[in-house]
Amino acid sequence: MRFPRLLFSICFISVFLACSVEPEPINFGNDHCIYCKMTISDPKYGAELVTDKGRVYKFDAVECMLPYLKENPETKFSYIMAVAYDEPNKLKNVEELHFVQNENFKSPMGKNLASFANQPKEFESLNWTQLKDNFY
Amino acid sequence: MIRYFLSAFFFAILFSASLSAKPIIANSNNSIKESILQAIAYDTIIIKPGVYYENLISIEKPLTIIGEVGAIVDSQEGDEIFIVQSDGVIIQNLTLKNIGVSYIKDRAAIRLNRVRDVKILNNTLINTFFGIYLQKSNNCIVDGNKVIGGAQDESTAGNAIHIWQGKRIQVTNNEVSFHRDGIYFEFVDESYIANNLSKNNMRYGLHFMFSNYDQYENNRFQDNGSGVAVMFSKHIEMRDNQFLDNWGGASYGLLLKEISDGSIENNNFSRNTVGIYAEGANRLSIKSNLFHNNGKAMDIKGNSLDNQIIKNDFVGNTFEVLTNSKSNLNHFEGNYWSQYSGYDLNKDGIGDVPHRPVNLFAIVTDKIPAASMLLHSFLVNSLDAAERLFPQFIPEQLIDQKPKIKPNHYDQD
Repeated sequence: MRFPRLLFSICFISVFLACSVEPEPINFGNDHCIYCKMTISDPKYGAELVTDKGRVYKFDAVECMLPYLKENPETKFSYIMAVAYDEPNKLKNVEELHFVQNENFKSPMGKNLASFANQPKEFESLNWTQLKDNFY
Repeated sequence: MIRYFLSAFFFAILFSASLSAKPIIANSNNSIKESILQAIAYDTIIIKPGVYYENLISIEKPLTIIGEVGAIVDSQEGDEIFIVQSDGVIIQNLTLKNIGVSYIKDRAAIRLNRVRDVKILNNTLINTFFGIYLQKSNNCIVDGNKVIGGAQDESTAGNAIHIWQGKRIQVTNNEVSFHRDGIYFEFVDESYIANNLSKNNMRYGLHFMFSNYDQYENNRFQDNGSGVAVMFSKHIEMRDNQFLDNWGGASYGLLLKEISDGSIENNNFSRNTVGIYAEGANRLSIKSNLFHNNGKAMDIKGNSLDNQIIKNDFVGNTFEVLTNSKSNLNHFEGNYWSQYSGYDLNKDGIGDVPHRPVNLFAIVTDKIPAASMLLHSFLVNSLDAAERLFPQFIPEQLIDQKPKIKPNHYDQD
């Protein structure tokens, strides 16, 4: 009797996982930006949206995610995330990030926009709300 | 007599001056850095064979630096090697190795910073993060170099030849591989790229961003993530290039995004997932190209306007043209389509019935990729035939009124 119970629990877990609304790590070098079609390849930049139905959209830069959000105002998102320049490869919620626009940061779409987990000393930064309202 | 004497005197001075301009030699006794400090403007430095463990060599006066066979500079996974900060520098015949990967700084084997008239010739760069990086520089030549990256882990790769803000740059006869992009142009105008081989790069063989009035011809782009991407640029001329073997989930031979007024002529697109993908591409002349054995030859989105698609050959592609709109604002004429099933009764070389290159099933598989398993089934073929007679889903105006009976390239041979 032990085996069918195990099978049942595996099925249950996999069904549960399939329905969950979770962010997905960006596979740098393979994933494509939904907005500009470029391969996402610079681990210092990148962004991701997860809809409340669990659909994942990946972006090569925050400057691609912002217009996508503007063009899809009625879609609800459970996660709005971006990669931090000072902690590459990982996604963080945009509310935790500090956004800096400066020529030192050559982001993929030429807007020189980077997001930081820790407020950098030399630069003034915007928070997510300020960025969203002012950038485009 | 005195005049003769004086002129002889001046000649002697000139002669001795030219003698003093004999080359400075860098060998195992002194470093390249020291030799550069000794040199005065317009000197030549010859680097003898041997391995030099040096980096951050700043060049601040016009010098010619030539390596003899076997002259190697090794950065040992450290910082950049040459930083050129003077006009008129030439770096030639050197082997540069092992640039360390950094998240903070875009390290390059050779960096040009705000200079002009610099030549980088016939160097071999091995295991580089960025290879040759031109920053705010004009009138420079990058010719005959071989740049082989160390990209094992794909996301830690920089670009082989990276140009950021420049004018009149010439990139010719280079071989670039195992980087993020083979050649990257960001804000670069009036420049010329020819006879390069770009292969095995993870993102693009060649990439234009915000660059205008550039030309590229006679290059080969093979086995890259995608062949070439031209984005947010105007007046780019693309001639006689080869776009080969760009296979993968979303791979393109040529990706066009928000570009206008360019030309794409005499190129060869073979064995790509998508030959040309165009989104927001306007007023282009797409002429005399060969599309051979691609998954989709052209995917041209509804927001592309006024393009002239003339005298191309579409041979053996699974799908010839795909679009996402019911209207068509581009002009197709005089192309050869191997899927054309019409006839030519008056033998003028032009098919008597127009050809509709968009296949119903191409639209279906674009929305539902798994449906491709039904390709070439009887049901799908009959649906397709019916759709071509009475179009309901495919754009009605996307028609070649004068399809060629024989390939244009066949005629040329």
